[in-house]
Formats: sequence, structure tokens, C-alpha cells
Amino acid sequence: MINPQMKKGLLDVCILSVLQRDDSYGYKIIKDLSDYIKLSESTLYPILRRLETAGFLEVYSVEHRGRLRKMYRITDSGTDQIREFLDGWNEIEAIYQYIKEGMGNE
Amino acid sequence: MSKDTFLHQLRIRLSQLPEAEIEKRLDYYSEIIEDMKEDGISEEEAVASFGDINAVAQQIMQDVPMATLVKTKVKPKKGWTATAIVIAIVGSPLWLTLFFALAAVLCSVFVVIWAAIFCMFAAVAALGISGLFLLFKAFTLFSSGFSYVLFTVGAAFVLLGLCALGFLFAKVVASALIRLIKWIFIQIKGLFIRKEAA
Repeated sequence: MINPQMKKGLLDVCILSVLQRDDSYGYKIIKDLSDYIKLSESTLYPILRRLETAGFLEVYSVEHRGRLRKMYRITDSGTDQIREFLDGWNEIEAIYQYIKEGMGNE
Repeated sequence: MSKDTFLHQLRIRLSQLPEAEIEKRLDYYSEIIEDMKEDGISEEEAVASFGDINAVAQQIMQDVPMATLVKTKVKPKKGWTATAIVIAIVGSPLWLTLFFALAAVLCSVFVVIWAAIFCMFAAVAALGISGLFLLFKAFTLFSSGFSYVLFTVGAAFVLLGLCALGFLFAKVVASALIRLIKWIFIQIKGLFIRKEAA
């Protein structure tokens, strides 16, 4: 179980990664991520709003079975955001190794 | 709980938010419930999966900055239309006077309450001072006879006793009055900011 602080940081990039694969909508985002990270409806909404304000995703509506569904599409700067996360992984890896060494040969 | 009940109850709990904000939130939950239903989850179960509705509402209210809450309360929801401005200016002799009258009434309420507190303590102090005065006065009355001295000392103690009792009484009443003032302030503030929908 990842700690809540780390989870919070990962959620943004997870959601962007869902959209990197294909445009999606609220419920599907939660479902697609459910195998990797638990995310409640009430948590998702403010994150989507924040990512939209930051310009990492765009919102549009499509008609689906006689009702409107809000779709989310990643922007170029959203993709950059994912790239930045991946580029930063080496640093995280190094930190991980450092922490692991501190524990000795456990 | 059905979808309609959930959305209705949520709307009540979010009533402090701007109308557009409420609509966005309700649309979001409505869409999720519909998608869950398409996924084979029953409406009841879908609503239940959100957890306690009060917690849902509370989390939403926490997301929204305080400034937005205050603004919605102070500003009319649809902004100032030309007619509203004209009415406000034309009506200013009326509402300005009413506003000042209201402010004056509030002012006088505060003055009256503080005056009442001051009067009580002044009366208590008067009792105490006259009691002490009589006590000292008694020493100068030895020439007039023992009964005079006894009577004066007795009267002095009665006054001092009344002073002590009066002080306790005044303290209780004063703290009650101060609580009343605080309550009035909170009510006035409440006109602008209300944290939770009833």
C-alpha cells in the first residue's frame, strides 16, 4: 500500500496516462485505474478540474444514449507532464536505492 | 437512496455554492451513476458506493475556496443588471435610510447593553463605598452613645453584604450580556458566511 502523500502525487500522472491511451470519461477513468490505484468519484473530480485549469487536459461533451457525457482529452502539455514524470524516475530510483541501502541486508 | 433523491439531497447541502458550481457537481454525479447503471450496477448500489452523502458534500465544500463562498453570499447570483443599478440608485433615499437606521439600532443595542453592565457595577460600587464610609463613620460616633455606633456598624455591614451579593449577581448578568453581544455579532456575520447548509 503506497502512502497517501505519494498516492496523491501519482494520481495526476495516472489519470493523464489513462487519457494518453485514449480519451475517456469519469467512470471509465476510475475503472481503468482500479487495478493499479484506488480512486473514489469524489477524489477524481477535483483532480480533473485542477488538471483542466493547469491546461493538461481538455473537456468536451458527447451524446451518449440520449444524455451528455463529459469526455476528457489530454493536451500536449499534459503529455509533457507524463514525460517529465518518466524522466524523473531515475532520481526516484536513486532515492529508493539509498533508502534500501540504509536498511542493510534485510 | 435513488439517484434523484441523492442529487436532490446533495443540492440542498451545496446550496451555499454558486448555481453554476452546483450544476457542475450534480452533472458529474449524475453521469457517474448513469455509467454505473450501464455497467450493471443498480441505482441504489451506485449511490451507496459514494458513501455518506454528508461526507461527499463536506468534501466538495472543502474543495471550494472560502472566497467563492463569501462572494456568492454577498453578490447577487446573476450580477448587477442595468435595471438593478437604476433601482438601487433611485431607491437609495429609501434603502440608505433603512440601512443607516438598522446600523443605528444595532449601535444603540450595543450601547444599551454596555450601559446596563456599567450601571450594575456602578450600583455595586456605590453600595460598597457607602458601606465602607459608614464603617469609618461609626468610629466618630462614640460620643453620641453606643447604640448609634452599633446601628451604624450594622448598617455598614448590611451595605457591604449587599455589595458582595450584588457583585456576584452583576458578574453573572454581565457575562450573560457579553455572551448576548457575541451572539449578535455571530448572527450578523452569519448573514454573509454560512459554512454548512442546514
